[in-house]
Amino acid sequence: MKRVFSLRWIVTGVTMVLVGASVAGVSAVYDRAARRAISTQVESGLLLRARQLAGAASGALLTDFPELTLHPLLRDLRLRQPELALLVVHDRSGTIHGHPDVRALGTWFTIPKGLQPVATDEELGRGESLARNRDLLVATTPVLHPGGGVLGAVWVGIPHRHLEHLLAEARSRQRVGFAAFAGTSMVVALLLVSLLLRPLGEVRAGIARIAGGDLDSPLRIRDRTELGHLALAVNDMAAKLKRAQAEMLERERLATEMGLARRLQRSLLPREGRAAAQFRIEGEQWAASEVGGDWYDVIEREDGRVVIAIADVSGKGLGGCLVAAMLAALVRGLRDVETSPATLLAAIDRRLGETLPPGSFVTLWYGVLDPPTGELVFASAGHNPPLVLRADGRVEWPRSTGIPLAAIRGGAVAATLRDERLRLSPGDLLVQYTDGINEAFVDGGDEAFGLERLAAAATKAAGGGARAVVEELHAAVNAWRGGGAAHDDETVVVLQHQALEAPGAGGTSGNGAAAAAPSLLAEARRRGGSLCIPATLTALESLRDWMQCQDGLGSLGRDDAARVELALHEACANIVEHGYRGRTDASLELWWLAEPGAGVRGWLVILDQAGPFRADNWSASDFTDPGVRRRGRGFGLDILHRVMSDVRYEQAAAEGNVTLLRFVGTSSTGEVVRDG
Amino acid sequence: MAEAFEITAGESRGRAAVVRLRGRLDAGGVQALLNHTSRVLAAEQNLVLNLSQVSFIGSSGVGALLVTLEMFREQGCDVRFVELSAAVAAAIQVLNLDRFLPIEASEDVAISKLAA
Repeated sequence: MKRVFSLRWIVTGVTMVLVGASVAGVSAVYDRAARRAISTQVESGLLLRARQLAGAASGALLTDFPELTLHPLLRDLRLRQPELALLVVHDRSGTIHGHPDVRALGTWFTIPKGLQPVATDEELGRGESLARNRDLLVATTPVLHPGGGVLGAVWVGIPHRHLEHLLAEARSRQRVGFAAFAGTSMVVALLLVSLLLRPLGEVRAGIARIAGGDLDSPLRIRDRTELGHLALAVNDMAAKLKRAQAEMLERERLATEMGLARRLQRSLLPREGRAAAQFRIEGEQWAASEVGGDWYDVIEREDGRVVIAIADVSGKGLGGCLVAAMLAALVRGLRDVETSPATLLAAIDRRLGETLPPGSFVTLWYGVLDPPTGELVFASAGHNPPLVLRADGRVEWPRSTGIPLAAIRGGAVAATLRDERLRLSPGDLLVQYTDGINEAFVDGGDEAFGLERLAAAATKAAGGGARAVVEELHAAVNAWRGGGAAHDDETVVVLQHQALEAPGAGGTSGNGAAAAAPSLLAEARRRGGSLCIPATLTALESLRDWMQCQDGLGSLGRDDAARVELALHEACANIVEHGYRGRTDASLELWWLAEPGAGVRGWLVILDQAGPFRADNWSASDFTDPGVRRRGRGFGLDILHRVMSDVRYEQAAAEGNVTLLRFVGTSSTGEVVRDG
Repeated sequence: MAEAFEITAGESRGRAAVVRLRGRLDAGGVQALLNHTSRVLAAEQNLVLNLSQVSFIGSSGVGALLVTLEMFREQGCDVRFVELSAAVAAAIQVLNLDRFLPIEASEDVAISKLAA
């Protein structure tokens, strides 16, 4: 942290500097004044002394022996004022008659050398003078006869040293005084600054409190200086901060609640698409507000059928979400209990009627799909009819009667509900949706997206699969709205019957086989995930691990997995032993083409580049024949044919030989499909 | 990871020779198995074949089991297959050979049955 400069010391320091400067200035001025004062004082003192002496000498010089009077006088004077270096009274002829030193009496007076008159403010009488030389300041006064004649002169002198001495004394006195003054002013300055700045400490403490989150203790400074204003400003800031904080907390709380609601909403919807036998079911919801009021679900029943439900709740936001949650719970709870969609909807209607606020209602479309047969039973409570797009391009809108659930309370809705049926064949497509799709408007426009456009969009994307249709519908509605905001939730569920190109209807070798191998091989290459191994028996050890990674095969029970591995091993071993006949540079490649649906089923495709072969006319071994058992050979094909429901050998031109093995696992009821 | 095929001879108990197999039994290991069992047969012993450690058995392996059984029975000896691993059990079950192969739950049971 940077060094903190205390105001206290800055102010004090500056004060000291100012005081020092002024003291120095004053001192200089004073010095000069003092010098002048002292000089004047000395001069006048000197003159006075001289005049006094002259007065005394006047009478003495008239006597015969003036020394008798003057000498003691001067000696005394010298004793009293030792600084008077020159003290002489002489007569008209210059003979000294008065002198502190006896030996000087009677001698001639020598005027001190180099005397220059001194400018002075003193009034000098006749014959008086004030002069100085290098050493002395001298005052001279004539001794006058009472009648007016000059009897002699008095000379009084004082050395400059004395003056300097006096000055030095004065200066030191002055210094003490100034020091005291400086000291006092420093102390006063310190005290004053401290006093003034005390509120600053209070302000700082207050701001620290605010920074610590305490917005409730205002600064209490009853100061009339700027600090008082500062305190007011800080208090004001604290109050505003407090308000802003409260607002932010409120917003956060709301956002959290909405976030929770949104998560709840999303959790009610299927996370991803689903496959059921040959069907692919995809759905998506684009919520208009933060929380949607539409709901859809795709769930399996215990008997393997798939429930598709879609609903529109007449209330957006949090309320709609809660009703959707209720629907989800009811549908999930009742789906295995009721086989008839109409009955199920009636049951839901009763429950909803008890719970929903008056005026609320729900449209719900409920369908049950039997994937193996493609049969769909459905009922609709006031919901839009689904679009059924047939493989040949026909467009149908199968309707059902039925008013929305809880539109009328008391169970009257039940009577309007009816089960309807339809069958979906390979290539057919069913689309369910909510109002947000077909009633999408351009802002300010008067034409809705409509059912025809819906059918057109679905038709356009049908070739790309269920997901593509979902995306295309969303894009088309978006484009229709011109990119404006949606006013309603848009929910879409698409059901498509896809069929893998299964050659024939399963069954014995050779049926309709010619077209099968290339298409299965092509499909295999498209899907990838193959195992490519050298054509050696040792390499076949990796079959087990590869199987465990395969969709479906990896989930087989231990016994089933062992059977499949056995069969696969036999097929590959055949290729190794009979096809390649010991070639070490060869390899074979295999794929597993899983088919969607209950249980594990699909095609194993093995490709090799061994020499062409003729498919053996295989017949099952008769193990009751001891000879067969004794021979102990040729069981491989038995295993193959017992585990796989179809075994074919093809030659795919330029690619090599293709072995096709169809595996159909146990059904969901645990029945073994093919007897061993 | 090669699961090498191993044949381990256990201690003989009376007239029964215990042989334990380990690893993958496919076409490569069949000959070694038949050689070993032939030696057991040549010693006029019964065979108790422990298959608990067999991780995989191919059709040729199954064939070898059948051949071994026929071989022993022709010579007046007997074979018991014990502690079938899951892989062996699956192979036997696929071919419905369980009625042709004498299978026992453990070596002790097999030995006591052979002694009887």
